[in-house]
Order: sequence, then C-alpha cells, then structure tokens
Amino acid sequence: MAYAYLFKYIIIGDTGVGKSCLLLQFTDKRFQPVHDLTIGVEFGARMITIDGKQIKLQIWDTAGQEAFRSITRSYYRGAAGALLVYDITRRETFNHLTTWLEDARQHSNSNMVIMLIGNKSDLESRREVKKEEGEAFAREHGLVFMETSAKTAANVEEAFINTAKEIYEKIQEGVFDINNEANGIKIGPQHSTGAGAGGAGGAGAGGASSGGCC
Amino acid sequence: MDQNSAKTPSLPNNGTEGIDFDLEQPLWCLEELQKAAIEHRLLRPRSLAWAIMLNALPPPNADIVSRLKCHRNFYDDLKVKLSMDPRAVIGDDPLSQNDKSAWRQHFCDNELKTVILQDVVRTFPDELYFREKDVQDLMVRVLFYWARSHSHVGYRQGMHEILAPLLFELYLDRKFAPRAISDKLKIILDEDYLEHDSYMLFNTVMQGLERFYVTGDVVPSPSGRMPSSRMIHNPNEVVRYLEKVKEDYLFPLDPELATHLTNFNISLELFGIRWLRLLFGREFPRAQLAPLWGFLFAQGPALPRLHYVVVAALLAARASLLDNDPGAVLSALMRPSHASAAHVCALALHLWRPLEHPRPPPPPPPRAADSHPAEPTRERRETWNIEVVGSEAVSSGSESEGVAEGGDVSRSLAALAVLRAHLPPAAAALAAALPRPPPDALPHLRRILHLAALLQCKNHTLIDVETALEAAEGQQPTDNIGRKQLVPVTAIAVKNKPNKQNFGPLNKVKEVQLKVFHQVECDRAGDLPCLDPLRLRTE
Repeated sequence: MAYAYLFKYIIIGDTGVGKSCLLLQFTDKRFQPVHDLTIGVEFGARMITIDGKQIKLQIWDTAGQEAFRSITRSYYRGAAGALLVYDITRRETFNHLTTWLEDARQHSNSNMVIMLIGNKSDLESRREVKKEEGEAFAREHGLVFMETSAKTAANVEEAFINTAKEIYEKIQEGVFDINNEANGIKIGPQHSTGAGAGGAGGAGAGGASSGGCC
Repeated sequence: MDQNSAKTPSLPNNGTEGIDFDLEQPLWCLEELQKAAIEHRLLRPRSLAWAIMLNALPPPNADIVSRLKCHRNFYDDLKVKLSMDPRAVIGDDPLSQNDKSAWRQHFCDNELKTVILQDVVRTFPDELYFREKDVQDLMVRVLFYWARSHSHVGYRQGMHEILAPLLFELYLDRKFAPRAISDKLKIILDEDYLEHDSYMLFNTVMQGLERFYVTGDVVPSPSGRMPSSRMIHNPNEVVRYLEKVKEDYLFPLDPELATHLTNFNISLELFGIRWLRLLFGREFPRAQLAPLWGFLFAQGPALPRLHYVVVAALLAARASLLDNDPGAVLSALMRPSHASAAHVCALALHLWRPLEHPRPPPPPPPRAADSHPAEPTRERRETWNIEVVGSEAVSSGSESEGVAEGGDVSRSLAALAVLRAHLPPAAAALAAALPRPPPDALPHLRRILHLAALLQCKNHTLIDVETALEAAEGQQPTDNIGRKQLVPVTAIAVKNKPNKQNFGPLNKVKEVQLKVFHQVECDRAGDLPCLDPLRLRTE
C-alpha cells in the first residue's frame, strides 16, 4: 500500500497497563477484557492521514515484565515514537514511569517523541493516580500526555495520531534525518528519488520534501 | 501412516476407553510411546505418556507408582520447606532489614505471588477452565514453588503458558478416565494430586526450556521484579540459540529464505523467543498443541528436535515470508501458523531424518484475506477442543531403527551425486555473474571452479537429486556412533560467496543448497543430532 511515510512506534510500560489492548483498539477497533500476555514483542500496523498524507504506523507492542530491553534494544533505537503507558488504577505502574523513561531515553534516538498515557480512564471509581499528576509528570519530563481508555476507545485514536503529528512536525522542522531509518521513519515508495516507481498517489510529495529544508 | 492405526485417539465416549486407559497394552513402553507420539496417536492418559517420554516416570511395567509417590512427596516437602510461618521464628521481626529474615522472605513471597497471579489470570482468556479461581490458585502455587526453588531463573512471563497445557492434559486424563480402571491407574489419576503432578510435569519440561527464559546475567529479585536494564551485558541464551539455528540450519537448508530475512533485518528472536518460551503454544490452534508437544517430548526433556521444528515452522510459511514487503513478512511471523502442527512436525521429522521420512506435501497457500497487514496478531485462536482428532496425522513411514550396513556409503554416494549435479552449473553461473571478482574472493572462486571441474562425471543424470541432498543432511549420530559420518562443513553459497550482491542471482540458478562434506570420526554417544546447537552445552 502506498504511503508517504512510515513511522515506527513502540509501546512500553508495566505488565497489565493495557498496552496490547490499546494496540488492538487502534488497529482493530475492538476490546478484549482479558488479553493474553505479550511474550517478547507483538506487532501491529495501521494507516492514518496527516496533512493529507498517508502515514503508515508500524507499532511494536512489548512485554511488560522484562521490558524486552533485556532481549534487544534495537527496537528503541529504531523508533520514532513511544507510547509510555501506565494504569490510572494502579499507582505502582505510575511510580515505575521514571525507570521506563530512563530506559527509553538511554536507548533511543534523542528525537523520539514520547507520549505519556494514563490508561483505563473508564475505571474512574478505582482511580489511584490523579490526572493532574500525569500532567505534572509529563510537563516535568517534556512528554505529551493523555488519558485513554482502551475499553471505550476514548482518546485512543488521538494518542496514536497526535504522536504521529508531533513526529510529522519534527520532520517539517528538519529535526529528524528522514533518510536514516534508524530514526524510525521511512519515506514511502513514491517519495524515493530516482526510483521512478509510478508516483501513484504521491499527493504531498513536494510538500514534505520541501519541509525538510527550512 | 497406516490409516487403521490412526484411530481417533481418545474421544471420551466413542468406545475406545478400553484402549485409552489400559496400561496393559504393549503400547505402554518407551519405544512404542515415542513412535506413537511421532505419529500423533498417543493414547490416554496422555499426561502419563508425556511423563514417561520425558523420563519423569518409568513405563508402567516398572515401578511407576513408587516413582510417582516420590515426586508427590517431593512437592509436599518443597511446600513445607518454602512456606515457613515467620511468626514461628524466634528473634525475627516484621521490620527486620536482615536479608535472611523470615519476615522479609514472607513479604517477598507475597509480592512474588501477586506478580504471578497477575499473569495467571490472563491464561488462555478464551478457555473457561482457566477462569476458575481454584485452577488459577493451583497455577500460582506451582509456579511460585518452582520459582522459589529455581532462584537463578525465578518466575518469568510465559511460564504460565507452559504450565497451563500440562495441567489441562492432567485434568482431561482424570476427567475422561472410565470408572473401571486398574488400581495402578487409580493412583496415577488421583484427583488429589493434580497439583503435585502438574509440578512434576512442569518441572520436567522446564529442564529443556529453562535456558530460553534466563536472560544473560539477570536474576529477578526475590519478589519477582526484574532489575533495570543497565546491568545486562550477556546476550541471552535464547538469542544465541536462535542465531545458531539460523546459521547452522536455516541457512544451509534454505539460503534464500535466510538471506531474505537478513536483508529485511528480521532476526529470529523477534518471534523465536515467543515460539520457544511458549513452546509454540500461540502458533497453532490449541487443539493441535497436545500432538505437537507429544512430538517434541518424544525424545526426552532436552527436546533435541526443537530446532528442527523452528526451521520447519519457517519453511512451512516460506511463501508468505518471501514477500517483498517487510511489513507483510513481519505480520506473517507474528500470526499463528497457516500450516498445521501436523505438517510442521512431519517437515521437522523430514529435516531430521530425510531418508526415513519423506517430505510432506506443502500446505495450502494462505488465504488472501489473512495477509492483511492490519490484522490483529492473534486472530485465529481456536478454543481448546476437548479432543484432538488424528485426521491430520503425520504421514511418516514407520521408524526404521538401525540403518542398513551400507547406509553410510549410500549417503556418501548420494552427497556426491548432488555435488555433481549442482556444483558445476552453480560454479559456472557464479563465475559468469562475477566477470571481475574482488581480489579476496578470487582464490575461493577458483577453488570452487576447480572442485566443480573435478566433479564432472558422465552418469549422474539418473540420480534423484532431491532425495540425495536430503540424504546428505540426514545424519543420525544415534545410529552412527563410532562410525564415519558425513558432516556438512560449509555451505558454499553462504560462507564462500564472493560478495553479497551476487548472492541473490546465485540462488536462482539452483534449487538446493550446496555443501562441502568431509568425513569425521564420530565416537560420541548421546541422542543429540550431530549438528545440535545444544551439543556444546551438554558436553
């Protein structure tokens, strides 16, 4: 399928905060109350549109326990965006954010956009972490913040798409070296120079490449 | 396989109870069980068959009951030893900072149980049996006591999905047991020892899988938490194992596929960790899992056929994996297999002993709808059918134990035939593709051409090339102890390739992989295949 860009995401956070459910809701628009455990990594993909351009999101969903960081770090390095997820009904998952963030920062490229997500916002009665706390943490660490519910789908689209928008803006600003795939961004087939691959649907080709030079 | 022998093994009420729960049958010896496991026709109690094949229990004609009691007592003792009441310890207090404090241990234990429970409640979400609280509690206990008595490994995510199918088989064996069974079977299928027997089986299976769970030098804390990543230096054994499988098996057997994956930067660990840690539990419909595990367990707890199953699972998905879109390849690898477990087992068997087991016909191609990239990763989940029907039984011939005297000679000749048929044209194509080979590749290329010239021979046309190649790969150290063997030492296309760019076209020239063989003395006993990546460990 033709796309202008491909962005690579990772989803990280403690076990049971709803990482796989967020992905399932985003790629599949459904919710599974009990989701089996992610072992190693899982993988999902979806196409979105930003600024009239088709962007393919390639999303790596990771295991919570060992943080698969012990398995390989290459996923961090190759990601343009990260969703750092905690569970608003379990304070310890919020308390572990610092460790996760350190780990992500240490092993990723410095421009990676990190979105902080407080998931399970539908479980208001069992809330243990105030929204303000999430906001404060995000502000302090320079993250984008949102509360979501993988169950009701509230803010799920927004979380993935806003992250993509941030990445897209950074591309426009020339922050990302889009020719380096290690940054988690790949230019779609119709953008590649000299390939002459038909150029179908390359609506925004000029805009994007000109954006890189300012 | 003989269709008559492929009776639906153990449907509860189809009149086969007498066959299923009858330990007096000749089937209940190790050799026959192994044969039945390979042919996917193990009888109930299947959990008992697994335990015998895994060397946890002797065959029923030996003193199985006392061994079983031994295991059960061991578990009882373990429980007592590891559940000390801290209040009973004099001179200890709940606030003690002492590492040896019973209170401290008590709090750590509670935390570890919480960590385990958190995963256990997510066991097979679609399976009602595992939604029962008693079952979940049993699982937590078994995993907890195992983790506590294996502190170098601890509890790791995924273990619950090893325990669950074992527990389920033990449960089904008890559930389907007819009223009239022998006293021996009554002891074996005692309801009160479901938990003990789960521990026994789990502990035994983990002997082979433990290595896939340990992560470098990292040991979880007593409370089950993983330390932060900065301390991790050693690559994991599971990663090393998968790299070895790729280099030593996938590359020689299917260089095109191996290169394709490498070019897309897709390493086996991406999915292989899940394959191995869960022993393919997510890759096949659950109803096919028991026969697959029986196949894997047939050769004892070291699971020496495992890497052949890994390669076979890849080869079975070959068509989708050669896609030109890396995303599609990844999706294919993350989804459950399109091929049946029976097919993958048959293929693994063929890769293992090509002479004895013909290559199974390829599985039907995946439906187009299945390759949609946005498809959720675990869509095709079938609930656990209570029983597995042997309709897809492996089409393997009967195991011919003991190779004929001339086996080595015929294999050598076969290998030679392959070389004659394929090396000269491949070498010629290589030379043509590389009019000006890079200086460091030149001597190798010359050597290849020289070898090709030496091999030129008139009468190789009649030889069945496909069979011959497989023969060369079908080394059976078990049958060849102390005799000469052919050991592939080099895969020309891989190791001696002048440069990467010309690798693709080279592959198209030939259908099969070339190898150089040399003879070695093999005097090692042991049941591991000659090229077993684990051999180094076990030596």
